Amino acid sequence: MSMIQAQALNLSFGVGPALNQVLHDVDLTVEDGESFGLVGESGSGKTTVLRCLAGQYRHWTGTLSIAGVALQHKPPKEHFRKVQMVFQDPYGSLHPRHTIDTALREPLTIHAMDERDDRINDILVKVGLNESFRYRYPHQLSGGQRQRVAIARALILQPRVLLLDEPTSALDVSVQAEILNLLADLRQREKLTYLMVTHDLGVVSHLCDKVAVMQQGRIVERLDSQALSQDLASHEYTRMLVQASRDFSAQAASA
Amino acid sequence: MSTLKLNVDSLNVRFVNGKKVMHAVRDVSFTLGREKLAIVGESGSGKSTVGRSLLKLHPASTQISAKALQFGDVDLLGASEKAMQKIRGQRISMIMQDPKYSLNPVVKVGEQIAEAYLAHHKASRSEARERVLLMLEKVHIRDPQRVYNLYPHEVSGGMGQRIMIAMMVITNPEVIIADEPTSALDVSVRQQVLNVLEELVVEQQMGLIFVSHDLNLVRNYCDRVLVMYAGRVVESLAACDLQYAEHPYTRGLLAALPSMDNRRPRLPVLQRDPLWLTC
Amino acid sequence: MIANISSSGSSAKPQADHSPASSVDALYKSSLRVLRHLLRNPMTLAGLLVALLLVVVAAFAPWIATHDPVVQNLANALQAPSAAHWFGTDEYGRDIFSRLVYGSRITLYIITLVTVIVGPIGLFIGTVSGYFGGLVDTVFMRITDIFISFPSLVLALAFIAALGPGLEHAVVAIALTSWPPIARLARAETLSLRKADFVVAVELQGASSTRIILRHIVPMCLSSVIIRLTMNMAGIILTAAALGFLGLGAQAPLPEWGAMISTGRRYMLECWWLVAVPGAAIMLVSLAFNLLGDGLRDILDPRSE
Repeated sequence: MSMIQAQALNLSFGVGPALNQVLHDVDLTVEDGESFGLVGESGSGKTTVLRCLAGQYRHWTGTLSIAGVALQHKPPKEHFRKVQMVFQDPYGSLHPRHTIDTALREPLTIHAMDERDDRINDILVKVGLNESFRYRYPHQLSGGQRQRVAIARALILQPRVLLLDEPTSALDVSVQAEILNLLADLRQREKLTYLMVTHDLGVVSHLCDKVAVMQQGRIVERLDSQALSQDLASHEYTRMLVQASRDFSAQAASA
Repeated sequence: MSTLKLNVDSLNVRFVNGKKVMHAVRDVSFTLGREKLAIVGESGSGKSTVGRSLLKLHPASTQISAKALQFGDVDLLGASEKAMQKIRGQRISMIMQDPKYSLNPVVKVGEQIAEAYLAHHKASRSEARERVLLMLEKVHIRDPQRVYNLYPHEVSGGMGQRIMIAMMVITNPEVIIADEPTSALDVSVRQQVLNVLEELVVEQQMGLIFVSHDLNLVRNYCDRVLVMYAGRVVESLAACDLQYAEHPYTRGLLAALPSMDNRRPRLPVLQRDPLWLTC
Repeated sequence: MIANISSSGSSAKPQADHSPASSVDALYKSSLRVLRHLLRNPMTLAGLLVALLLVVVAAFAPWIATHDPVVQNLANALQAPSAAHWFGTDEYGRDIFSRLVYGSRITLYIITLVTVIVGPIGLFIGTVSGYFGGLVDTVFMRITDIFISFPSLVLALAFIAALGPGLEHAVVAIALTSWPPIARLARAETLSLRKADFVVAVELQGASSTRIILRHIVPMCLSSVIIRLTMNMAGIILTAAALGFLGLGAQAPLPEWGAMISTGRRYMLECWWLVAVPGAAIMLVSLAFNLLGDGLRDILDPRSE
């Protein structure tokens, strides 16, 4: 039983002459414990797939399922304990007027979970922070710290699947490395399944086992992430992405 | 006459906010000739501040001091606002990150470029239009007549950035400051924009200051690289020598980049040494 | 990404060298920060002090007033300001200073009551419209449009005509004309907040719409609404004074400032104090609230954070 499954996923926005089909027959399978990357440029639809799985966009057609359970268009509360999302912008994903404690307590209240203080303290330690952060406001934290809090908030409900929307693209290089390491550690320790959207091939090679390349709402190629660097990509678009990313990346003899 | 375009010696920039003074740029020195110089750093390093200080684009309360801030025969430090207005856009131009925000949304793009030209040259509107069309061709925009009449929201990111370049280069400046010009663009479009910029720089023998956070990008594109940390230049070297960088910050940054070709189980995390704040 | 000039390194230690120990502590510290900013601006400080003065005078009226505000003393009528009567007496011999002091209670009563009614109603209608959109939005906004299309004084007069004159009715009438701008403001803020990541994040936790509106959207609208309400107070005072002036608000012998001007009109040319004193009071209090609102805007504007 695969953890995430999408079949014939289609989605359009707008009506009549303004109709814009954003996803065309997307098929996706992610196994339990796998880390799967979705790469593409802007307009490829990669983030849209994520938001359909999260339960935000509801007017898709096709079949979606998480952990074997079919996803309804209006997902019940239990769905949100299986799947959580980490957003791209650490400056926008935390409520500016809520303390970290409030932000972490809220999902626990919504799902009537017990031992709230313990859970909050535990999760803060797990993401590399500590108790002293509980009563600070987001604007008192750095970008990396905010993203850690966003990850903590996603994990506090103990989901099986984590949807990651370009989680490090708004962060500095040095901070990105810390967060990528954290994500890799958490996946191993908490036995999570990742579906990550990114435009950075370096990041996807580091964190993901398998990759699907999207262009204009369609998946054009699926391959192992190792195959990317070994020039085993067959589709022209993928090869173009790899080449463009190489033109800027380290020469063979790097650090 | 030497080809040296810019000479910056011990530039210091302090931002004043009420009683708080923030020392954003500390003793930065560099020269610029007919070359592509990169200023690389993370957020808060002061790299954008350096670029903007050259054009004195900061609020009046900002304290800028330097042993020398020389642009050819003009002392930028002592220059009046009037003198600076003659320099901005005409002798030193600036290209910004996101054309969505740097282009006026209610004016056609062709008119904006024409306006940039007419601000510094006396010419008729039709002359200006001709020049704009020529410039659009130079930045490899295929249908200049059609694009002239488009509004910024009707052009894609890459084209918008090339329009921005056209606007900034039409006056034949001597120096271009590009502040993260490709960071908002898709990977496939970046190369095109960078090529366009390079062509113009080489053809008109301009100096280019390329401000960026992307080390990998600049090491192949620029001639020299300045690495900034906490307002200071911690390393200055040729771009091709970047792999031989000596300063631990530069080495740390390079090592922390995830790379498709060099996969490691854990990315080495940059250890910040407080000593770096005092060099 | 606009260049983010923060202190030294990017993941440097946060500027807060204090770690609040609890949520109460955190709230206390951020309130202190607001207060400190408020005190730094002289105009805002002046506005705040006058507003506080109003509250103090209203609270301690019996101790501050020198005479009884309603007892008549016809022998003493129309006395100029003197040591015995600091602001003189009116046509019935009542001490104007004392009437002014007791009148502050009425002014405070009106603005408090109107604000307490208008704030929640405006917030509710605005946030619900903005969040749900569709039919709910259309219905609420058309109702709002109907109210907005009347000039506020005319509408207030219409309500008074229907309800009859009197202080409480004046309050209701003014409240009914003041809520639409608040609703519009709250709706505009909600529309932009609805798409923010932090709202989507809590939606994706399974939060109910009620929770999202009450705990996530309203707190963000609060700044603009508070500022608007504070600035509205000036207008409320003037409308109440206008109604009082027309004899439709507070009824005699209540010492409402507008009513005082109205009755003093007749003797205005010889006895300037009858009109000038309550007029100056109205002006001062309106101005104070305007300045306070301006200062609050500088502090509470989320964009400046």
